[in-house]
Amino acid sequence: MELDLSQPYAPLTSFLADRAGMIESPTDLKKLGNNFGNDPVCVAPFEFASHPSEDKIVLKKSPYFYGASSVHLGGLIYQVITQPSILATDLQAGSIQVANDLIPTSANQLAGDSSVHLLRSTSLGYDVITINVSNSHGAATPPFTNVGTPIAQHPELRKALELSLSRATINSVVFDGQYVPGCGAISSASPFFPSAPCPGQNIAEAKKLVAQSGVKTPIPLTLLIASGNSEQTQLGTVIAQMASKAGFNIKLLPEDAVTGGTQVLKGKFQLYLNQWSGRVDPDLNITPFWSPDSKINYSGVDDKALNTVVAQAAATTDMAQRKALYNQAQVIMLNDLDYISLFYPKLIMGVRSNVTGVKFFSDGLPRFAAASMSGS
Amino acid sequence: MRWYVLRRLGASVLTLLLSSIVVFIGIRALPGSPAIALSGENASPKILAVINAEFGLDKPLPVQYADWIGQVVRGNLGTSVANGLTVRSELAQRIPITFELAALALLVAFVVGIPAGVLAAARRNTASDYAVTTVSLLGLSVPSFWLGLLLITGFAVHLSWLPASGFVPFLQSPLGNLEHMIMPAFVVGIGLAAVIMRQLRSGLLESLGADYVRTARAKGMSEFRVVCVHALRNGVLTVVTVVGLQLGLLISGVVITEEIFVMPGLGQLTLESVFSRDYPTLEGVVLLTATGYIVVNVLVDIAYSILNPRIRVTGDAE
Repeated sequence: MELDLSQPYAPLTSFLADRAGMIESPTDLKKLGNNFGNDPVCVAPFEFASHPSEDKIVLKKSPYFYGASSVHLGGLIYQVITQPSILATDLQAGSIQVANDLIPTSANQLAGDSSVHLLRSTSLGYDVITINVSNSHGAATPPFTNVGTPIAQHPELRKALELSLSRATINSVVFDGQYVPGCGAISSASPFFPSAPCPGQNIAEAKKLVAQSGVKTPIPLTLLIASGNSEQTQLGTVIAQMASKAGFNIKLLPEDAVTGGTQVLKGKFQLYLNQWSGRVDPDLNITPFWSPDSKINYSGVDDKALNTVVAQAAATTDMAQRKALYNQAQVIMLNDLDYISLFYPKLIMGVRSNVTGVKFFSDGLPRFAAASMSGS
Repeated sequence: MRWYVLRRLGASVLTLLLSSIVVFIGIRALPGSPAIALSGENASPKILAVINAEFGLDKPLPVQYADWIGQVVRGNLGTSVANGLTVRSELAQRIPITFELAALALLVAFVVGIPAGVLAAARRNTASDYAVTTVSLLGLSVPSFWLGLLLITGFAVHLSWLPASGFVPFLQSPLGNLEHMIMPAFVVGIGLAAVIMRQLRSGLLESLGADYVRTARAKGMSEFRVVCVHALRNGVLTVVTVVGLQLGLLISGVVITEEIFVMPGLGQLTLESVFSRDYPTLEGVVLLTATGYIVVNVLVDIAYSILNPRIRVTGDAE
């Protein structure tokens, strides 16, 4: 297969190594069309066996895989368990052998258990407070005009909000110190991690900026969070408490994923706590939220200088050059503050001690090709 | 009796129709849509329009309702927008699990609640009565999530006596099925046992104060026979009504238990459908639950009249 590009595009190989590059059977794609997902045929150590219920997928070892002789497991069962405490308890009880996406409190619960060992990796993603600055007609719907709220109209208020927060304290209180505080869109796990430093908490400066804005305090703000998510509730509470010292009155608004997603897409929010799961290429960690062409540009960002720098970085494959350009991009993003990045999560996976060979990387996907299990 | 049943069935059909309208409107009143849930990060207006057109969500609401109800009366509950499976096949998979859980929970409730209620009434204002009443209050107050986790930690993690989660079909392994059902059935049943105990105690105390009980005692009947044969039969009437009401709640209320024990039942399906705005599945589940409620209440009324033939079900007690 040959791809002709009109200009260099460094993220291309990263795209192809991700979902867009999954190799699928053309025969089955043609036969099943939109229902391909119900009976997929791909290239991997394991093949689809059945989907017995909505929350379970069963795979079996594929005899067609080119490395089949090195695959030790006879199959895999993917079981959805949405409650973090249940996930950890099931792992301890041995009902499941691998638990992906454990939260820090679960990791603490499992830390002293000799039947389980924990694998950790810093995520390529990040958590942000999205500020609705110019999402006036819906995400990806120009023109991006200022929404007119105090925090949208006054960049110094956004700066004050950032300065009221202590990322280290947030990490310590909410995540037991297990995550990595950060202020950018490129994770510390990436070789392109920018060297521009993160501002620390400075309440005096934050108060000064609030006074400078001329907006009367307390400044009311609503922070949209995911309902039923205890971590987000804790995080939101800590943010509100810290921000109150600078004169902000933040109220938490828990919404389920679809309701929250609808409101955010339509631009009907002030602040929104969201996450980006992270991609290998740094361009794909910036453009989703900062590009004016992105369908999930929730803040309504269209910064010409940033667009230019990011485009230049994508058009070269020179690592040093790209890193320097992403440093410049970081400075611009920290200046505009349409998003306030808080931390890079630590991905935590628990594995029963009789299971070995599970590989785990910053993309959060466990690889079982070389895994094996002894006893039961 | 025949006319009564026919009248109730007629009223039930009307109730069901009204329920379908309420369900249909209620679900669509939720913010967001299946299109938003499906498209996720790719939710551009163009993609949303394509998804809406594919599932007929761009048609006027009365047309959508007419299409849906027309299919329902032909036995077609539609296709899940989340996974492409027919709603009927999903329900067929999930119903046996939830019904088994509800049935076993009811068994636990009767086995625990009825003897406790009899004991509390027969030993009124004694230590036994106070102990049973206190325990029943605990049963009502304890959150099922906490109780479930406690049981899992004890019996699965520390003792390794029972599996922590999952479900094994009965036909695949009866013992495995029972092992997986014990804890969930207890979690669901203990709350209902507390309700049964309190209702039975109250009903039995009323019966034990009646003239016929005094007569039975005067005739020299044993206390066991007086309480368990004569008084219980009347005292249990309120329990029948309460169980009927609770049964509907039981089926819809096992959501939390199914989440804790990772059981792919109806409750879990309902929760998933709400979060993913899977309209056809949610409509199917709610309609099925409404049907269940109606059927159970009709059966309760019939059981009522069988237990006590003096009660005319036209509403006049004689």
